Amino acid sequence: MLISLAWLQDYVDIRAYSAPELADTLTMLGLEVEGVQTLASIDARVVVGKVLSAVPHPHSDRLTLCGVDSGEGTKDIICGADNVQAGMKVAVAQPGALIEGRELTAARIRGTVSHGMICSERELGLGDEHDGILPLDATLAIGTRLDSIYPTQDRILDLSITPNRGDCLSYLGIARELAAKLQLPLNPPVGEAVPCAAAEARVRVEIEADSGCYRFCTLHAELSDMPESPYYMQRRLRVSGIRPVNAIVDITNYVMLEYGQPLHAYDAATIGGGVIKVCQAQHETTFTALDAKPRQLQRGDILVCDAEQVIGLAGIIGGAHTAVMPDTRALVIEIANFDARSVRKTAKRLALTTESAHRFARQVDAEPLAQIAMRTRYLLSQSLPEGVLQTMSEQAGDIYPAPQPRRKIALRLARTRKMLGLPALTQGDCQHYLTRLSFTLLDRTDARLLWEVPSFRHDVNREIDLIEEVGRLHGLDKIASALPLVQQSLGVDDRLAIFQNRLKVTCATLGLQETVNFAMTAPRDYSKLMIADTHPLYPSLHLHNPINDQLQAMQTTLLPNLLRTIINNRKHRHKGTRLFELGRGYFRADLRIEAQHEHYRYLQQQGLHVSHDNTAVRPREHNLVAAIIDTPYQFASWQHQEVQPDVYLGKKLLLRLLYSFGLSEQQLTISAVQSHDVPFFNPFAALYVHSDDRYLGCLGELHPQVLGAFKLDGKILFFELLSDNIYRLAQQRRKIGDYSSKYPPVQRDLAFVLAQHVSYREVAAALQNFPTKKHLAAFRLFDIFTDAALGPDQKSLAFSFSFASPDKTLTDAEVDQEIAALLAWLQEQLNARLRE
Amino acid sequence: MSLQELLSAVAECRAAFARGCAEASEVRALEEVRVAFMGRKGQLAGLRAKITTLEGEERKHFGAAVNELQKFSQQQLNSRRRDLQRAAIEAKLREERADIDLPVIDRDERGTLHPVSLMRQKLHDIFTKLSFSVLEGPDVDYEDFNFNKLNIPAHHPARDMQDTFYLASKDEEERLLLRTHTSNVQVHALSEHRPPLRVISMGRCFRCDFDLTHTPMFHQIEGFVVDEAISFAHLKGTIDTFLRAIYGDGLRTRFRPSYFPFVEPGAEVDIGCVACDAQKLAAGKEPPPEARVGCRVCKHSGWLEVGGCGMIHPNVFEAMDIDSERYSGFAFGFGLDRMAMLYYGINDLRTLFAAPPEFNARLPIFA
Repeated sequence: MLISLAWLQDYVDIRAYSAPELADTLTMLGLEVEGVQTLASIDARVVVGKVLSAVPHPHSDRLTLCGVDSGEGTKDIICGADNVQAGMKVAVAQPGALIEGRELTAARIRGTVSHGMICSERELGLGDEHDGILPLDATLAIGTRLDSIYPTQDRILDLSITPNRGDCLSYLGIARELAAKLQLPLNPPVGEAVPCAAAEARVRVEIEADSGCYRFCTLHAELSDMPESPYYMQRRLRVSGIRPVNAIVDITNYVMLEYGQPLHAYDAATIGGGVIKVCQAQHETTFTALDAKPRQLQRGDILVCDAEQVIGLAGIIGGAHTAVMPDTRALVIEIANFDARSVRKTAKRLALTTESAHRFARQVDAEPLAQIAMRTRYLLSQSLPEGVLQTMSEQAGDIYPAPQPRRKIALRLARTRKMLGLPALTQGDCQHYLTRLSFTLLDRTDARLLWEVPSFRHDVNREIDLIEEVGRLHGLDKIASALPLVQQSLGVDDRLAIFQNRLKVTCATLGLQETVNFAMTAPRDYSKLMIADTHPLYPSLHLHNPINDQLQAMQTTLLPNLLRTIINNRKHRHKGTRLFELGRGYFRADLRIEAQHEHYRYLQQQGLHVSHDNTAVRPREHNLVAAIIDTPYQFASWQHQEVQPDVYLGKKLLLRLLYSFGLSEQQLTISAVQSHDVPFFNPFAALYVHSDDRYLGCLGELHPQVLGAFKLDGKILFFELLSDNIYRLAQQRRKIGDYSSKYPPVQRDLAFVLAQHVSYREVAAALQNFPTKKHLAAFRLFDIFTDAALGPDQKSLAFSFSFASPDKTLTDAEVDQEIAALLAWLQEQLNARLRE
Repeated sequence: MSLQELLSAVAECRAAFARGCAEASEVRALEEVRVAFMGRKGQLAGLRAKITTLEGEERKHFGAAVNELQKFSQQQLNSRRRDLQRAAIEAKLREERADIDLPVIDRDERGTLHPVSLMRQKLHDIFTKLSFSVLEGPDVDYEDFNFNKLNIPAHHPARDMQDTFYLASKDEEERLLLRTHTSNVQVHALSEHRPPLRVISMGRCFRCDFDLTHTPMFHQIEGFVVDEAISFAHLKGTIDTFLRAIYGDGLRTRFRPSYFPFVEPGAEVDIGCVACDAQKLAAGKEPPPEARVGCRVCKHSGWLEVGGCGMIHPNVFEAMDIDSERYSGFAFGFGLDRMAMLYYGINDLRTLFAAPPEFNARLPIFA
């Protein structure tokens, strides 16, 4: 809402305050001023001049050479406008004048010196017109300063009005607030219209019951012409952000800005059947509004109709057919009140953001309509050139079926003090503040004051609203700061948040960079990841109103958006990105999980952050932590060759992460992924991690086919863990126990030859479960070796074994004995032999 | 030789030995000096042999001098030998010396946290010291939790303040949406736990807005306290405390009446511009009032809007079956992205989402 201080001055005398002071006062009243614009006055060196001669410029087809008298003799001025003529009175800017921010100088144009400039409306800051020069009234004296004719100096406040304060979408509303805060008298707009012949009421108004129209006033008038409105009115409208049209439309807009009450003028000659009916649409129809666009109406829209058709969408926009046009001579002006909710619904559905709809949607006061009608009469009688107004209604037609009684609300002093934290507040203070805000005191006892709410304060409905008004006028800045005493039924529970932060710190300590992506994703990326639309990971929560293609549905895994970041970084010639993210995967509660995807059964549980209350159909949200590592993991450096992000590297990072939360090797099970469950991984370089039966996550190199689909090359490593499950395990109490070894272990290195297909898991299991194991304490694989010399499909695994006893230092004989037994066991279990 | 002559021979020997040690530049040369002085046929042995040529007090005196020389020589020798050995090792080490200026860590190898995570760390620490619990809530929620129970019924104009992402669904009654603020946690917490309560919650929020200063996803911190005698003064105290803990003790704050349907009285919180106030504080003086207005960050207002707050509306309590006569409470919501940007001097919001590695690498792990 744009407020001109020069106009506001009409309703409250604010001359004692500067624009920044007023802006600050309004802001601290809750009417935020977002900007203050200064409109400069017209430069003093712009004066009225008379064009004595106008001849074509000798060296130009377009320019005119004018002889202009501006009070200091005749001077040559070159003008580019088409409408310049000898005999005209014009605005002449003399050299030195500031025009549109630039200083004017006498300049030579095509060989002739121009001693100044003849100005257009825009150059003077009076309007947008720039097609020609501004013709002035022929009676003006030559040499008169333009700023005395057009006083343009003004400050414009740009206010952001919150939706509860529809009453402040008007000059009067703003004036009222300032008057209350600054303790100034309010001067509401008034005016007794000059007597005029009474207009005959050409149309009759009917309001259908339950139509959503609460009051409907009408004014009739007849004109002999459709002139422009006076300059001051046009200017005030313009600086308030409204384009002047003609006198009638301008008057309706002017009154709207004054009172916040939208008006609409109809051409009475176009209203069929001499009747205006307000009703609700009963079926779908099409309506063509002032902006000439046809719109589909629905049941429940409030309509203004004549005997034949819809002539207006109530409170939103009038119809094209009945609009006031230059040839309109008979008028009906509507001053009505409509249901806020209906107007809002209709306007929103049709995406119509008119000044009228904006105000009605925030509720408009139905009380002062008769008074507003009087104001409109006054402006009609004052703003039209003499003789134009032929007739005018003496009294507004007024249909007001059910006036609403004003609300009465009690305000308790004790409650007010307690809520605001103002223990010293008195009843006198409350009375003072609320009275200034136009509330009427009905009754008082020691404990409470009974107030009547002014009709324009739709936002005041209960005691807390009065308390807010007291706080607002008192000033929230005058309330002292204090910390509340601690009482807490929850205890201080921050375990989940602490865990999440530790998880981030751990990932970062592993050398990964945290990134944050939007939680929305593109289903087509899932197709490229080979996740079919029947797969549980295919997005199942779609947005009704996505902002673009890439953000259509809620993600189920962090992979697509992380991969997009990698792609984007590569586009910027940046390889080797390594990122991690904490995010959520989102799933429908009734997600279909086919038998073959049993693995994803866990998706039916709810994430830890959603408390238990919640309905069974609430979507599932799983807290995830994921990492993606682009190739290379490490660039070739002076220390080492390029390192690739392979599954072994990933496994190492993953285990370091899990170990840091106290998960032990024994708790974790690593297994191969099922390709149909995790189709985006290279199935031969990917793994699941479980702890007991609890799924923790998966890790792997992306499938070359997936990389191909995204036009990527080189390895890309990804892992994703269910952070809620890690949290659960991390919360468990664990026993560490004692460990002391008094006697040093004996080390022996041994290599075994066994069949290529025997996995490390089998070897490790055999070593761990070695039945006659007495002293074998630990083993470490240090080499894997294949060679034709070993025999076809054979490999050699070399281990460093460590044997120890808690009671003594082992002798060679004891160790040899155990090794012999171990060899026999491996021979039996895996057909392994010692490599000589 | 007289005692006098013998004693001066000792002194000479001592000086010569010291000179010899000092001149020996490697261990082998030092060994030669040792043999010449301390060997079986060395000078020291020669002097020692002279002890028997003296009698009585003179013999005692000279004997002591020789012993002292022996002790001195041994010390000299050991010390010099250690020095020479160290020098020899270091000469070898110098050959293999490390160039400590060589680069060892690539930009991408630095682990870092996101600015919003860093801000969350700070806020977590402050609020847990003030005995707040830290809860989380769902990102996808029902209209009821995000709006209705917060005193924002359908078709309330306040819904226009927040452009909402709805989920595609057949169910018109119980519409699902992406939460537009973290205030849904108020509803979850108050419907599950009874007062007294003090809670913060930090997380993602979503609004359909995507331009230079808005992203469809952003982050908020929500905080609320519900107890029997909570007032607006407590709200101010809590907000002043946490903002000053982050932006410094001298921070100015301003509570400006505003409108959020779930609080009343409601206010927006402004802080003194961290860019121009910081300069002022550094200069150590209060500039004239007109100089206060003037910096790009605060758009020449001197103030930065950082959040909204207010006293929890009785309608909200009543929707959750909490006695609004007995209990009062306050709530606040601040933009974490904006708080982090102001703290770290980040100007472009887009930097916070899918940031380039060049940006990431500047961040730490701890706030």
